[in-house]
Amino acid sequence: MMMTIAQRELKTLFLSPLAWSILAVLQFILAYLFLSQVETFNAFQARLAGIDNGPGLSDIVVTPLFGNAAIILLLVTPLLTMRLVSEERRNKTLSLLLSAPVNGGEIIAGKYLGILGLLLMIVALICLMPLSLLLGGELDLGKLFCNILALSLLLASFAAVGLYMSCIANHPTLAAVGSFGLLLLLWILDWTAGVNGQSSEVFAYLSILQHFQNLQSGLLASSDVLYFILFSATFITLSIRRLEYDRLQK
Amino acid sequence: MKINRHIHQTLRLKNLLTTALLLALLIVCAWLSRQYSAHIDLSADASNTLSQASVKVLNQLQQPVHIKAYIQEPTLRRQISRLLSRYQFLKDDIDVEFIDPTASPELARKHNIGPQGAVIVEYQDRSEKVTYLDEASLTNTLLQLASNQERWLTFLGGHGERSPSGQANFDLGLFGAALKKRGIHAQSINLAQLPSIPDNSSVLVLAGPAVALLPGELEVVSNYLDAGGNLLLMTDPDNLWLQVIERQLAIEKLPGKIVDTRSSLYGIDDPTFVLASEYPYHPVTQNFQNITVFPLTAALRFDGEDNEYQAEALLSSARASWTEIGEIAGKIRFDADGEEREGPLDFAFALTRQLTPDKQQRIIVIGDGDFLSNAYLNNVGNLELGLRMVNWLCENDRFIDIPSKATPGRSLQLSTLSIGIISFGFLLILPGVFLLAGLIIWRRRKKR
Repeated sequence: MMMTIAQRELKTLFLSPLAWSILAVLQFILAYLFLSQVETFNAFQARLAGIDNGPGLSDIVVTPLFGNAAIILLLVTPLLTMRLVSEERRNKTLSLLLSAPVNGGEIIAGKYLGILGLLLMIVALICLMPLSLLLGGELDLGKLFCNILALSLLLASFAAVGLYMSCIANHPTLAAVGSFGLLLLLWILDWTAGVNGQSSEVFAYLSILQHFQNLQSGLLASSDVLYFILFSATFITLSIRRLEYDRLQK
Repeated sequence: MKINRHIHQTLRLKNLLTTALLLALLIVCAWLSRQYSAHIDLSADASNTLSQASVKVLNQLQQPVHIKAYIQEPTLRRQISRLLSRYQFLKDDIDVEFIDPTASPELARKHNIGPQGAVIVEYQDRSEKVTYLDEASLTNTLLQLASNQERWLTFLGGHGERSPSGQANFDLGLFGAALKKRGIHAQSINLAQLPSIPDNSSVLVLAGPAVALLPGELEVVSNYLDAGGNLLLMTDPDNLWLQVIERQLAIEKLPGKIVDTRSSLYGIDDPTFVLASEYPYHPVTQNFQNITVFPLTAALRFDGEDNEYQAEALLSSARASWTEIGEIAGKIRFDADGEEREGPLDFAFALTRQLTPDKQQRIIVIGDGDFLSNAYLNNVGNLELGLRMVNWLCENDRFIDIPSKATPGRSLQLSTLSIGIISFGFLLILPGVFLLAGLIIWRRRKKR
């Protein structure tokens, strides 16, 4: 049942022009940033050879590409997730779904997996760019793997937030604005720490950026990976509880 | 089952409780994930992992380490905390404090911190300032701080020498204080009262006496050198009182003082200021990159024939310099016919003599004593050079070489065809295909 919902969700996404136009714009912007980064590397190439411990292709091209992708997807994910539940609610199809012999957990998991499928396709699309550089250079594959993992985990968290917001908002636009606001807040949470000089440990832990950048550096730490998993789990749990609450309302 | 109001309320309460319980569970998991964490460094050059040498040094440190970073820039702060987190992972009592040098100018002035900032590493009651922080510099700083042996420098006094506790412009009071912070104590002795150089002393310092030493005193110094004692000898162009010792070391002082026309490039009017910016390979100057400034310097020459000492030049003046014998006034010129010598001229030597296979005598002779004096010590790299000299003389010159890491992918050679495929494919074709698919779907939906 869960997979059926996931499949249906993916199909709906690809049958709407929104997903396709988002993919087109995303691909264009990231390709442009990627190519300018490759240009930068080419310009510095001669000088890099002389620097001890200097950065390589992975540091100059791959890490910034995934960093840029993270910021752009922070804007885009809410647009993809906004309709997940709130549109069903608007179209009065949610009550139908709720009265079907599936529990809230299956509905949420299905919808979450559907959107995750699309997001992982986007990650795969982004991966093609650094991999194309293997035609003429060497990459730090360990670091590339960490970047891919970091972006995937990050998008999983984004999707969970988007899903929850879609559960509580009555209108898709509200869901998009809400999830964008929450994600941005979590993203910039550690900026305030930099201003005061000392950071609150809880804030530093909650900040998404820190964990993302730690993983990007190629250091696969269990605490950073678990952060993203727990983050996603929190919002999925909240979404399920919200749906169960809806069912009781009836 | 008929749901009445009571059952409805119970169910809602149950739902609320379940939510709260699940969230609490997640928070506990987050806390546990912080407490018990493991990591693997997947980068090809292991750039997130400390080298074996650093791990070994860290294991030597028993006491907590305090690090005060006088850094304003947020990106630099982040880089520093990332570097330190690798150390903290192995040793959890390293604490870091970031201080904005512009917000607390009195602290910055106390530690003589410039606008580029610095990092002060404290261990036990010693501290060391680092201006450029990377693994090599931090590990070596910790290594220096870990060696808790007390060292003594003995300054010969009683003849108007520069004093390690004096406050006058030509004295070495500031240098003495800088040494003390690093666990090196300076003591002044007077050979008229004390018949020999104390045993606890690692190095004897002769800092430009203003009057002649008595023959008996010269003999004590000479015996000390014969016995293999370490010496730092600072002379000046017009100083004649150390000739006996210089002769014993086969060092000859050339007449006149070095003039360097380059100094005007740095905005110094006085041509007698000699600048050193390039250093030969020697333990003293290893990885040393700062400029050093020497006011009033005598050129030296080492004549190594039938002499036991091995000498290496430490400091040399530029090619565009010479020893000016005449008065420094108006326009000065190199006079090739006279006794004047053309640059580059050496003005500091490091002498070594192997006493036994594992004991080496170390001597530094330098043609200028002013560079460490209170008036000039804080000029660019002077203090650091002085400390490096003393550390070498104290045989405290263990330096760990952190091997540099080989990052893969230092070059990129793409053929024109692949450049074309990459740029067109990613920038135009792929977005174009997506856009087209979107358009088709939109058209189809409209038709329906």
